[in-house]
Amino acid sequence: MESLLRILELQVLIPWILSLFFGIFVGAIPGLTATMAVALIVPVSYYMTPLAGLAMIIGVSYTSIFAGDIPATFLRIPGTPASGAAILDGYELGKKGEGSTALSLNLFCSVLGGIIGVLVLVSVSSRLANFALRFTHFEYFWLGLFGISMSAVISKGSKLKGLYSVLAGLMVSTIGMDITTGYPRFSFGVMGLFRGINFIPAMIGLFGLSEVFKNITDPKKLENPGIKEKISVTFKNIFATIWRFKKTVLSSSFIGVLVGALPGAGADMAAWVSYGVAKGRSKEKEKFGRGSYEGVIAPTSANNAAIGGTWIPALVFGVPGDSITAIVLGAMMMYGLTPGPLVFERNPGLITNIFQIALITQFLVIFAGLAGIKAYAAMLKLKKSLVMAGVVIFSLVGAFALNNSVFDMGIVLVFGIIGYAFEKLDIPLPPMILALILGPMIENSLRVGLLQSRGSLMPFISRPISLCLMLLIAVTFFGGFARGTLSKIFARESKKFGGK
Amino acid sequence: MGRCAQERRVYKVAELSRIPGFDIKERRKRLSIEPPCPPPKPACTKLDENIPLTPTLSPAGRGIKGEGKQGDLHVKIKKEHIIAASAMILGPAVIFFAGNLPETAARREPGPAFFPYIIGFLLILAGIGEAAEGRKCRNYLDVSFHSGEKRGMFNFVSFAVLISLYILFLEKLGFALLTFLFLLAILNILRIGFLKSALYSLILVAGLYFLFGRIFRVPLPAGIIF
Repeated sequence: MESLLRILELQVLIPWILSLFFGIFVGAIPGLTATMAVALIVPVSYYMTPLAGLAMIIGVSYTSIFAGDIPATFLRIPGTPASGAAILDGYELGKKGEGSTALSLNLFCSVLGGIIGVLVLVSVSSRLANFALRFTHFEYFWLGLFGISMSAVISKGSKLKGLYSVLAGLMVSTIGMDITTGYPRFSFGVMGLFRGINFIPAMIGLFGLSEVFKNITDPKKLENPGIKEKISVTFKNIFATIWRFKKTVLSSSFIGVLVGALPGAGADMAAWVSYGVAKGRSKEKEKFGRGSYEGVIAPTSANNAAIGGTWIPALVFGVPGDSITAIVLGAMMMYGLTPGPLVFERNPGLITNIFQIALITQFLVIFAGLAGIKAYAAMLKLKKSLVMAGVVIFSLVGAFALNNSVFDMGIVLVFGIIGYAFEKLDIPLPPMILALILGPMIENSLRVGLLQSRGSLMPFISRPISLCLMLLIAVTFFGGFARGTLSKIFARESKKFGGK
Repeated sequence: MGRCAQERRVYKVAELSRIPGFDIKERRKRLSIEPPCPPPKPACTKLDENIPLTPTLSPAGRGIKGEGKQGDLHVKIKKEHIIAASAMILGPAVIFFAGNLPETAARREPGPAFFPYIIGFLLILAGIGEAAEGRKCRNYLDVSFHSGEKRGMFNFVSFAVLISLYILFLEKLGFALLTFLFLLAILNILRIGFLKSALYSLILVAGLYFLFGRIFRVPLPAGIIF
């Protein structure tokens, strides 16, 4: 009860609720992503207590992923990549004049998926954390490697491009003082580079500024779309429909959690995979793509459930499940918290609070969602050019505010250009982010492990958990396991229906 | 059997299967028509084959999206080749600079150069792999300097330059004045009217100053002018 009161204090509650609306705003505007929303909120959260900061991040991630379904339903443009699958049947229902029904299904199934995701997170993470306490440097080396190799393999595009992205991230992670000797590496005498590349400005650049560049280089993207249908939420038959498709809600949510827990997969892949599975198992397959309720329920339940899934490896092992949790890990380090199994022992109160916040957020999403849907028509009237200008200045000032450093603003610009170039060259960004955050862990584990074993590689392959992880990496990379299952469904479903 | 002949045969079989019953006349008629050889399927992304590989000035209306004018410049570069080139430059550079890093006292102990060496070698391997992939791919980067895309290119370059200038002069000119001017400039580039831009910039500067300067007490640069 005491811990519950702690999150209901005004200094936590007010920023938490405001962040929900911020998430709705960013998520509902096509071209702005959920990752961008989280990256932009981090500099603000830095000036708050860790609890308030984490509440803001959790709030933004859930509402922005839901809000992405609004333009997907009415404009056939996914607000965030996680809503890519929602355009299929949501938009078709919208064309039939059932847009409000689709949106209501989106809202309530997002909440249900989110609740299931959080419940799995709560029930699994503590046990996994106990198991993770057995891990040593040898296991952490393979775990980090598993995280980045998985993200490279299952990201969109070729494996080689994923590998290039990973290597770019690892290369950037080596800039700055060496972990063991303290010798500056690749700093070229630049003072700002001595302490390494600050992770948060890099993320703001990669996900905030690069999105702006993407929008301003294509003037068509700056045009404001219009909506003919009146946007509202209906409760008529909604709960009966959800009850009718309760198995789809449950299975999609569990698929969402599972896919989300894989490093690099994220909510967008969870949505496509669950859509494919729901279609395969449905008795009304022919209705999919033509305005099926199941086709709306499956991806929307999965993408919000995936958020809970992405938090599992992030909290337990310190390995982010997607780019949003990569930012969360960066933010946690900024607050002085080290993610991993020890956080469950050292900060049990904070972990409980995170679970409580995530669960309560699901109920708050209903109110924020209803308000957001009502305000959506007004949101669309706001010129996108003005939003882009706001994102640019907020990115720059936010990065400056972290360390009162103009150098960090430069990092935003450089990484904004890198992010834009990567997008143009079809290089996936999430592997780079994961490598950036896991690079120091991998390097440290490898070097300390080699030091402990006096240069022998045997402990890296002879310990049971290490061996399992090593085999898992081999299967992931060379067996085509992940690509053959997840990416195939992802690519097939998205291409079939004209998604990206 | 060549590719074209093979595809023609597939085409004919498909055509014949569409004839209801066993109409021998119709079958002969259809078999007598030699179908055109279909174009080769691209290995990767399908793109406009009319765009030449080298930078050229195109004839009218033959841009990447068919919106070009006579004399517009088009550049066609394989994405894989760009990635391969950058990996081939970065990999050896990482190895070279890692070579300047000191070794640890104990030679068996991995030093600060150990990890960068691995990354450098892997980058070279990735570069070779990308170059090989580029040989079978038709995945081109759309660099088209025609009228439709000139605007986008101009927006990108001017944003990058303005942000650089903002970063360079922030401490000298101060947050309030420079941010106002910066916003005014980028909104002008995005073709927002002056009055609307000025009003929006003013509101944004005041909002940011209130949030970061007052609530979070971030020491925003005051500048040397005021």
